[in-house]
Amino acid sequence: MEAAVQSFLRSSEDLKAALEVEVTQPQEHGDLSSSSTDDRSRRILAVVSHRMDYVGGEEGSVLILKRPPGHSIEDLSVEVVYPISGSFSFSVAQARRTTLDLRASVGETGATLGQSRTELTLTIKYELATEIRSHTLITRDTRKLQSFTAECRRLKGIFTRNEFDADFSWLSLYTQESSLKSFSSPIDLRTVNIPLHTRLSPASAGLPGDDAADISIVRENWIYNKAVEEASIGSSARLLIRTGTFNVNGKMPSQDLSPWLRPTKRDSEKSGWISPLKSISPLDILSNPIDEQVTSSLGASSATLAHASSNNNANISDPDLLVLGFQELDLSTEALLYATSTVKEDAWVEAILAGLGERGILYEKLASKQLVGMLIIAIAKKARLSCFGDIRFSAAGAGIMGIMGNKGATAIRMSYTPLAQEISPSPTVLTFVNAHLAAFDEMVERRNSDFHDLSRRLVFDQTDELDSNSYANIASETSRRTVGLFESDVLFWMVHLNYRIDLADGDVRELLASSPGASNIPLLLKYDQLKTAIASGKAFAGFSEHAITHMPSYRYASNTSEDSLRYDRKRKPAWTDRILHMSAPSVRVTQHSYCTHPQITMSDHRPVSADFELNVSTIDKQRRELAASKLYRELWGVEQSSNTPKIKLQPMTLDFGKVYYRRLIRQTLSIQNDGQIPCVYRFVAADAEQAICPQWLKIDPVVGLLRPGELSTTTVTVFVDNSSASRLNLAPPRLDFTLILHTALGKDYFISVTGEYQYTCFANKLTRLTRLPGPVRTMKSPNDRIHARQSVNAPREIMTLINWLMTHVTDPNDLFNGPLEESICMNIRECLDTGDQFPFPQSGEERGPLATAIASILVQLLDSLVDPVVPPYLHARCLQMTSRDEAFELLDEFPPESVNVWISLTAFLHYMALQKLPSQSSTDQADIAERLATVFAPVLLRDDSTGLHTPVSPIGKRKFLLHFIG
Amino acid sequence: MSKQFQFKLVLLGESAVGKSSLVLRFVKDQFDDYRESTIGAAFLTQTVTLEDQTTVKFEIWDTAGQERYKSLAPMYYRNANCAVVVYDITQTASLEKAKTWIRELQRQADPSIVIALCGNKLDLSARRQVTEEEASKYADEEGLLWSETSAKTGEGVNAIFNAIAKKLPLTAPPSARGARAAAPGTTRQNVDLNRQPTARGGEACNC
Ligand SMILES: Nc1nc2c(ncn2[C@@H]2O[C@H](COP(=O)(O)OP(=O)(O)OP(=O)(O)O)[C@@H](O)[C@H]2O)c(=O)[nH]1
Ligand SMILES: [Mg+2]
Repeated sequence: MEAAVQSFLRSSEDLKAALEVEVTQPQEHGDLSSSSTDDRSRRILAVVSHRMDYVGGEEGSVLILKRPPGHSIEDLSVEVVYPISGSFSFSVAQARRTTLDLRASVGETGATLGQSRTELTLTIKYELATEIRSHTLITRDTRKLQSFTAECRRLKGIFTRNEFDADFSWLSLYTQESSLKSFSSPIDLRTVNIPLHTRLSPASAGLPGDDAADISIVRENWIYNKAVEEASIGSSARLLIRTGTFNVNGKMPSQDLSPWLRPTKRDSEKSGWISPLKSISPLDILSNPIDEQVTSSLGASSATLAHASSNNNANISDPDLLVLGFQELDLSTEALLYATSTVKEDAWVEAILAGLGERGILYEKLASKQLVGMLIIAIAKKARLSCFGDIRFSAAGAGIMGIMGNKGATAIRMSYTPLAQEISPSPTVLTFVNAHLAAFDEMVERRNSDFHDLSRRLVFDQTDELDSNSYANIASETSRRTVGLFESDVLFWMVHLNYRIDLADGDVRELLASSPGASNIPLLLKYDQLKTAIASGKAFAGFSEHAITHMPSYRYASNTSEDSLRYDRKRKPAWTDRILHMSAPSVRVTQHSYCTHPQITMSDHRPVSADFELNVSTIDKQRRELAASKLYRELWGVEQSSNTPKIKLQPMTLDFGKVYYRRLIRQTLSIQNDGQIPCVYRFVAADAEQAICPQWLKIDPVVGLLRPGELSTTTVTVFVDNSSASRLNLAPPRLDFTLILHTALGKDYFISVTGEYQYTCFANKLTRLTRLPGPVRTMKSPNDRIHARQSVNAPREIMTLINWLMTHVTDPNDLFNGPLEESICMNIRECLDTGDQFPFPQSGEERGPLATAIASILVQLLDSLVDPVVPPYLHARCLQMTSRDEAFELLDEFPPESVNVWISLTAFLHYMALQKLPSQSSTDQADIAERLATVFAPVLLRDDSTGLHTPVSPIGKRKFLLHFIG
Repeated sequence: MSKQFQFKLVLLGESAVGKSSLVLRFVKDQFDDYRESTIGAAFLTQTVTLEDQTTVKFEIWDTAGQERYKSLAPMYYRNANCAVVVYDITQTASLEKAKTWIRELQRQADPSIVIALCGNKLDLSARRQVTEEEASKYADEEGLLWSETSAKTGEGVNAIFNAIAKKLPLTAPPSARGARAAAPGTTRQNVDLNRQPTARGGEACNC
């Protein structure tokens, strides 16, 4: 028992004596109440001392500890803490008859009476300003009681001698539970999903920030995660949720809703619109693998997306919960004023249950909330009904009419507690928002601000929630308490967002209509206002949305004015109806589908649905709290320690050897706590203007906490992308960087990172490539170049690629259809840089993959150019050209090196478009030209990254290129 | 109530001249024959009490002397109120290096910086290569504090820090001094110099 108590204490406190006692009810002013001897009345009484090294003092305290029924002795928690000060007193008495009588009267037999002879009663008193607290404790252990009382006397003696120096601040650790507060409701999702280091104080070499504050941030975070880890019982619960959003345009249900409600088997089966996009966009391989890695480490939500696509084939059974959002339920003007009738809601609930068909009987309405036209309904499987609880609602108006509620949101918050035996699992908080944001194309800013407004105003009243805090000395007032939207484990937004596509109406329709079906969706989404808002952080920052492969859900015509796709000619089609989510790292969210349901035609919108699977690891609530308070005590007071943190690094120098463009190299750095105290460390920049490391280097994690002896591994990755290469190509080849690892309230450590950069022809200016004296790798210095008069017409590397393709490719489909193998691509890039010969296709089978690789390397090389082949200031002019002749004339205004590249390249593309297709091929000639233009136009006329020139229409770019190759 | 001041002090000098050893002697009154070369920068604090009961708290950054980390030194001497530039009296080259540091400080650091030139390893004076005259003459010309020390025996160590403390402008409000915010928790165990066991006849307070 002593060992358990000592391990409960911090190292700066010593256990002086401990004994097991039984409590009788606290007695106030001699009020004798009865006592019982069941298990719940057992306590451990301890006296501990705290030495203050620096002043040579000592203070004492008496603690009454208890352990929850059914838990082991290690799981102690504090019930009462009293400083051994002037207010503290105690007395011991031989158990008197009265006490014995009371105890016997509870129904005890002679056994108790027999033992009672040796029982002693200890009374502890503590005087507060207004009352006297007293505890009566019974023990049989005379010897231990003696050492307890002796220690109390000794410590009280010390107190009396040094009364004025008395401090007792160390006791706050045992009385407060600050770190545990975070468990009472989930941490704000916006906080848990941002990288920890961004929450720390600004710091750089020699200028540490607020180390003490940083320690507490890192520590809270660490304890939270560790406690969850320690309390997770190893199993997890699966919850299937189907969400939907439908703008019904004031209509009453008049169609079968089953397609929208029943599980969608697979994205592709349903919509038929997932086409092999790979073949059309060789640029996909240009994405930076480091960035992906970094974003996925930011939280589970982004990792989920990758997961979702790989899991499309998973079998989906009936959802446990359906949550459906409706907008524009009622368009009548009186609806704005009297939002009380539930007639419409009832009709929709009925239609939903009907739409579920024979499964309908398995479900029951769980909750609903309506605000004028906005209605959110949650329907749960009857069998799982008991898992959902603590249901709360919220609603808020927004938009032009504000409070009137024609725009705004309704939301439901609920907790989901998996069924479990023996333990009480910690609930998972799910929040669903059904929102309708401001309309019209131009109103982006308004929509963004609506989002922020609603995020702030949608709060849930938690007033009657029970406070689980059982501390005797904390009077928990039932005060009004609200929780915010983001204080959830998973947050869903099912929205009629009204975000539009920032492209001309004609472009949108043309891109949607062109074949293969829906292949232009990724391109259109680049202009999607919601995607732009998320990327820029203006709204919905941190939310995930599954890849969209379905057609826009808005606006379908109900009369004659429809286009070939049945969209209303008067309104630009858009993905106005969206489902987004955000989740805590502790919940694994997998999205199995995301689609529209074109069969349901009653409204001008098509309903959208999304299937989610949540995997929540089951966490023992009580164990988590105990673990957290234990860890908290262990890590508390690092800031006050007279010890300095010490770490050991292995290795001290990371040599990456030869570093090539786009070849990822990963090494690990081990960090071990070599000191006596827990250590918080973080990487810092040399100075405030710089980043922690140059763009070609990434470290993960950037922040950590290690207990004495613990070891962690940091991944150090080198990856040279276009932007890094464009700089490194012009600098000396030696890579040398010093990482600075700062230990909070301690030293800075240096770690050298070295490497030998290998020059590349990628990521240069055309004007540099035409004046290179030879293959880039043969150069002595990055400044080597030939005289302008001797410069080559077009870069050697581009010409080599074009020539190879002209010689070896007979079927233009080969340019796109082969599997894209990164190893071949790497090999080809290397040949371009060294001047070596390309691999020669040995057989017909090899030619396809090789052709595909070389074609995509050509695209990559063009795309890597620091400035696009056609300078952005000419883009608008290009789009004005209406004929082939006009287009050719414009070439006179191109810079000389651009003209040469343009002519060679378009000659090649034209040649490809003219190739006789194998007779069995289904594609026709015009399609090939179209396809080539689709791939090359955005690269040759790449949008200006500086924002100086407004981007032009992607269709216009294609048309300009088609003048040359069509 | 006595006055308290806080200053940022940086140690510079070639590798192995004994910067870390000097700090260790000053802060903990210890010496270590086998010290690892510093790869990084160590932060320590030490408080000096002057005769008039004014206390000066030094926030000391001990830097890496190795050539390859030279580019990071400015990060540690920016905002420094004082610098101790160390050379090894048994190595002529180390004085040259010290002069380079001093020139750099005079050019780049805060113009009011107090610089002390410190010839270390005085216990090895039998192998002396740098004469006292040469170094002190240079220090006079440049307006630097100068003295010789031995981190090994402790000779002259407290004296040089005390001399710096006295030369610092003890008028400015303490809060304006030093770059490091005096955040709660940055306070460490302060060892009163006067309480330190010393074999050096009370230099700590008599100089
Ligand atoms: N004899 C003698 N040896 C000393 C003295 N001071 C330091 N040393 C020794 O000189 C060596 C280098 O001392 P450090 O204090 O590590 O030198 P440093 O200037 O910090 O070196 P870097 O950290 O590499 O910049 C160690 O072996 C010390 O024991 C001294 O006063 N006398
Ligand atoms: Mg050193």
